[in-house]
Amino acid sequence: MSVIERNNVKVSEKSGRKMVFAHGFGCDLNMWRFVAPAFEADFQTVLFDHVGAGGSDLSAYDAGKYSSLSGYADDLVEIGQALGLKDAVFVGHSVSSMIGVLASLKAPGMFSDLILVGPSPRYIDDGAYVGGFSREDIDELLESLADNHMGWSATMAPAIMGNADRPELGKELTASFCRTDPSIAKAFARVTFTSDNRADLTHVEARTLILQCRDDIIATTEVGEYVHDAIPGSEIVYLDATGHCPNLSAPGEVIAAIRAFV
Amino acid sequence: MNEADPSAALGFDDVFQHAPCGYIIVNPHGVIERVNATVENWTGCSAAELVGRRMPDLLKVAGKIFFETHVAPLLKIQGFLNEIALDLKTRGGNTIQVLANAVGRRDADGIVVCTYFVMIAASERRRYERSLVTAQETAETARKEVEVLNVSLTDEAREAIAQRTIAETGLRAERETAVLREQFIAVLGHDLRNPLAAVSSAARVLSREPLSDRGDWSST
Repeated sequence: MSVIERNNVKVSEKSGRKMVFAHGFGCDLNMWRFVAPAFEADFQTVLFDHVGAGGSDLSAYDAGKYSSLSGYADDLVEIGQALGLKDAVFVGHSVSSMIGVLASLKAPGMFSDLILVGPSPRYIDDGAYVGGFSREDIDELLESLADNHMGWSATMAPAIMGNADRPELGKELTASFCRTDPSIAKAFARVTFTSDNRADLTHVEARTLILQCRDDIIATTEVGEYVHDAIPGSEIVYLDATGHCPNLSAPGEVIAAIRAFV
Repeated sequence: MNEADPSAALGFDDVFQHAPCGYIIVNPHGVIERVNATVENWTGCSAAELVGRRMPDLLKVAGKIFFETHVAPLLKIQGFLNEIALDLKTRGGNTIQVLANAVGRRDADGIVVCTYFVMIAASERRRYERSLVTAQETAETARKEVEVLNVSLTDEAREAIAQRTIAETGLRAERETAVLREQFIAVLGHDLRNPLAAVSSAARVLSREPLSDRGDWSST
């Protein structure tokens, strides 16, 4: 099974400088459906699913490998090598921000520009560091995922049924979105929310842009500023969007910010 | 003429306010615009207190995370969502467990006008589902333990069979050696008896012959 198949890698037609989009916890490459197309004229866009999400090969999931974000970063590096990426742009949402940071450190020269959307190097509070959550909060989250496992299982994911209200989505969208295996989802949640990559930030050499939403409880402005201070030479742009997914709730703003940077 | 339908007197607004489910209407920016009386009763908060807040504000931390990472994205991508389990916070610090469906309403140009959330109190059903999930997890753990046990038992059996095979092979070798030994002794015996018989009868014949003086002396 090739890396391209394993991670459901989709490369746009028109060749050019590569722009890789990585989705975060909770969904799949469809998170970029309102943003990625805007760059297809000037870049060759690459979308993929992390193993365990979307159209990735679930059988490739290895609990040991994916027990840390490093395993996911290794996959990203493998994809980059398969596509011959050099000085590419990386756009990572949420936890994929850190996955991209790790990948850029593992494979120097692969990504020259990192765009981190709603990044957080650590979600659990630690002394003076305010990640936003207590360990009990995260334990509760992991518990509660069981309540929604029926809806998020690979066999019972929500599906569009020829929705006449959304003609712009097109007929090809009869597949399920944000599918995931419930036990993999729980494992990915644990890895994400117990991660700590603060020490990795200072080593980043790529040009970095942080996109920060104003009212994001998962990646707060405090955390965004922390990342901004820690990554040498990075820029931070505050979006008017609220919530954690500006790539869906305010795609125009995200597109504009990325375009201004690259 | 039929009697006037008593529910008609209540008015359609009553259907919205006092339906046996919670209605929450959210604007395109995720801000609550309207809630019904059922939601007020559940949460212990008045409509005035809830309007202007966001859906995640009604949830505990785990619910907020889940809402931002799963519910909001899916609503944006596919426009509806069914059977989401949510825990609404109550003023008293408890939670109301609900199952929610949501659908985005769009205008003629396809722009989202608002999103309707409908919630049904479902603590019993959710408790039942949770017990099913727990049972599934217990069964899975037991299955894994049996698998491990199976492997170790198979290893032990294989080890025991190997030992026994070695013992049997040794025993067989011993037996073959014993048979050979018996045969050797039989052959040896036979090979000794024949010449001895010949020597013996020759000696008997010779003993009947007259002996010299030295012969007399050595035969006594």
